[in-house]
Amino acid sequence: MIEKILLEKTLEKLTSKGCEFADIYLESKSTLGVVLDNKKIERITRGSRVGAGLRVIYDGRTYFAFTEDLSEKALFKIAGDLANKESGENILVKNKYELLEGTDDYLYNTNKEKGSLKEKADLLIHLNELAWRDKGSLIQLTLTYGDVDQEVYIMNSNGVYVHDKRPRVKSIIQGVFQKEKQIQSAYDVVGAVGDYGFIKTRNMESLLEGVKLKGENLLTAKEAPSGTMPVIVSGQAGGTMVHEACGHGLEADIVKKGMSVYGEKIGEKVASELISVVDDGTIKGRYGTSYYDDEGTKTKENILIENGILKGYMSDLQSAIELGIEATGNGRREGYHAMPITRMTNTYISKGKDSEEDIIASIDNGLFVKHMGGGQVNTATGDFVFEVSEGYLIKNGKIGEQVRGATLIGNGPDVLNKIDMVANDFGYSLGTCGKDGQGAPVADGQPTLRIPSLVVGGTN
Amino acid sequence: MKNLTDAIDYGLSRGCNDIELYIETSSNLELEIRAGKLDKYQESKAQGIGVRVIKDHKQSLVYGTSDDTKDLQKSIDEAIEILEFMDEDDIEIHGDEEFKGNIESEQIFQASYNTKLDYIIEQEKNGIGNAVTKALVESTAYEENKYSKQIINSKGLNKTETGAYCGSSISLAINQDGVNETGYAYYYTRDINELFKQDLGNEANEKAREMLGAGLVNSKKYTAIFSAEVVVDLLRLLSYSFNGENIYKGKSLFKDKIGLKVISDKLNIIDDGNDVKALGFTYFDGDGVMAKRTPIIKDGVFLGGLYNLSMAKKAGSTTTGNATRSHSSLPNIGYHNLCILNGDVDVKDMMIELNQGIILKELMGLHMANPITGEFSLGASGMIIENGKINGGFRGVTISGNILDIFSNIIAVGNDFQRRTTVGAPSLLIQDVIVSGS
Repeated sequence: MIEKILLEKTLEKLTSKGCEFADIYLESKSTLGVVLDNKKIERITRGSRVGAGLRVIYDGRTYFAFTEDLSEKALFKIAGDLANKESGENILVKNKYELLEGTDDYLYNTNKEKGSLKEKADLLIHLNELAWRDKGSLIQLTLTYGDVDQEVYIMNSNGVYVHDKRPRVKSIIQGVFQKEKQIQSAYDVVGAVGDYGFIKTRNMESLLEGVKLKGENLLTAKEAPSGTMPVIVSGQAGGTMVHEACGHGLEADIVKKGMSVYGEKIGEKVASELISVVDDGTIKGRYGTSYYDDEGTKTKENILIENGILKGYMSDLQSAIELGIEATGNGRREGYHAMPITRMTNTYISKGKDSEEDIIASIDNGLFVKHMGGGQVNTATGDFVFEVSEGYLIKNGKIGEQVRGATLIGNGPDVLNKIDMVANDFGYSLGTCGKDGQGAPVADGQPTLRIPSLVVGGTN
Repeated sequence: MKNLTDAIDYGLSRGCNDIELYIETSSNLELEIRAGKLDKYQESKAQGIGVRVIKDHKQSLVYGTSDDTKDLQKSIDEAIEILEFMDEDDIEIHGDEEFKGNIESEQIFQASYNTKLDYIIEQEKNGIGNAVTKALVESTAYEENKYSKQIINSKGLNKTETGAYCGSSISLAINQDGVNETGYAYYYTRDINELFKQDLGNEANEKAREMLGAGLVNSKKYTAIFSAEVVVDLLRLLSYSFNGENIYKGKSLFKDKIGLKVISDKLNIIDDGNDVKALGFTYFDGDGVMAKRTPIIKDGVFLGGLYNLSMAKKAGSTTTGNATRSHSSLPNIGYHNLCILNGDVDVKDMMIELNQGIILKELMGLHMANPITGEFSLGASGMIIENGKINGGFRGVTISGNILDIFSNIIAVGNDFQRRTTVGAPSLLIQDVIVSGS
């Protein structure tokens, strides 16, 4: 995209007025999206973007600009303008830049199988035919396939110069079901850091069957109860709860502004001793994985909460300086057009010792959450919500009737402290997390958990 | 300009029936302060170009950032390759019209950098407040955006619009006895002098302050005042059902409901594409068709959905000028300025009539609601009303139900119409609202 020498010269211009830090983030991204809706291949969209984001920091104040014009003239102009926003006393060490390459180890399928557009379209066409063959109550089906090829170069005034490639692939199945006046919808998604080869390893037909079954069952499900009751969140439910209940509150940029209920609590007990929380950007193939983060810091396994004790925060470079901690490989950005902020990667609650059966058997009257949907948190109050996309009543230690339409609401530290049983099973879900207007691919996971009391917001 | 017409000619020479280009440019400035000083400064210029190719009732789109003739030709080649995999569809494009217009917003750029910075410094100061317990302000931000959009095609359409908008937001927390309560306020407009009149700092501070000491409320059915901001959130959820594509595909609550009463007869909903002062005003939509004022619900009766050209053709309807589009998408359907029209009841009178109940001030998790079924269950916070007066706050509860029931159970429509972005509404007094709490 840009020669090393031009990057070095641009960085030299950025740092020419005595700033404390500067970096250049160079990105090229090409995308493919295929949508089959209403029994037709309705949309196929391809696109590409190349651009550079430049940043300079004086005494904690950040100046940022981006451009799609990667000519020497344009880059020097922007670098000069940014540098001239202030002047400082810092004298930066002159670095000798050696390019470090992110390896393919973290990709789901290192054998690389990009797949042709025909294969991808045929996959959706096949699934569509299959779905309608025995349609049941299905009235509408939307199938999407998307892949992204992202490649970044990052150079900064600390001597970092890295190159990382992150292909990502995702496929979504969404169905609408109707029986008389009752309408319900159901969906499922698979995705990875990898290419089309990952999708080929998935059993998409059984994913489709799962969506159809979920939809049919929702049509006959009763309305969920409301009020406070014991709740079991299944190890297959995904990780929305950990993401909202504590993940965001452990992001250093929120902590440094005093906007987290977990602020200034390192070393303190913030959760039940059964709870350990980890964020790990290195897990092979997981949706939140990358070799380097978007500031060129190597990703790693970060233990955030260990046996209930708060051990550390996730951090980007700048927040780490302000909090006096290490950067953890969590400085991420949506693209060259956005500044890096602290983000989760793959976040999970570690396995415990109980069995799922014992946990279910321990409840007389409660709610069993088999799948979670989306969620949201207010990090300053700790209040969070998450959606139950598949839930069942528990009666006398057994899973009973299915219920629909419930959201659970709780307070992060309160709920984490209350959890009194943690199973030895485990499951992940993936999603796109939104923060400050930027989307980031993430994965979240947890084992089966028992929460003795939680507010369930049903319609009954 | 020649590169664009050359690209169109190139596409036609390769056997396409039609070629349409959509070009967007924008320049943006963002300022964020903390503790009275600049914390983040961002400026940028961006460009995007979408190439839409139509041949034998099939279409495809390829987008990029360069308007260089060679790059445009490459995009067209790629788009033609994609066509092979597309299914045939009803596709309609607009033609034979030229237009060039600017939406008045120059005052944004006549105001000095320091005026803008001073405004947010003032807001931050107001946000901190002068009460014994001072607020901690997370961020106070200002942003402005100058944009242009051009649509040009082989049917002789060539339209350009330029415009700008600006906005500001503040978020803060007040800590009392180790518990935080938060407040947030924002405002977006094309008129910077309107922005400068907004006291967002005090508003956010008050929102946090009135929540101090908030707890749960009991689970039961309440009669509740939905504040204008909450009504706006729910109207956004309902808007999914106004979309002609969703109606056509059976994903709308208003499928086969034209001419029928679908919600309370106290409600009137329009999409106003003609209000020059509103943030969502535009001279032409994503198809290049003139935007207009479209009544959607009159006295509770559904009059019809919103359409773009292709969907109108498919559904046997006519376009309402509601194509939304970016350079990276084919025309979709969306609204310009969606409003529930103002009513005539004072919120103070609503409180007196209500006597015992709650005011909903904020919802949480709106993206979790299901717009197809209308079912929702959301986090909620607000104020408790006793004997017609506010008596403390509540949070950590959920409200749930069906959006159609909510908009059907209206007792009164407020006279406090509010619009901070492209959706506006007054407060509503609603009965039978299911709340789950303690």
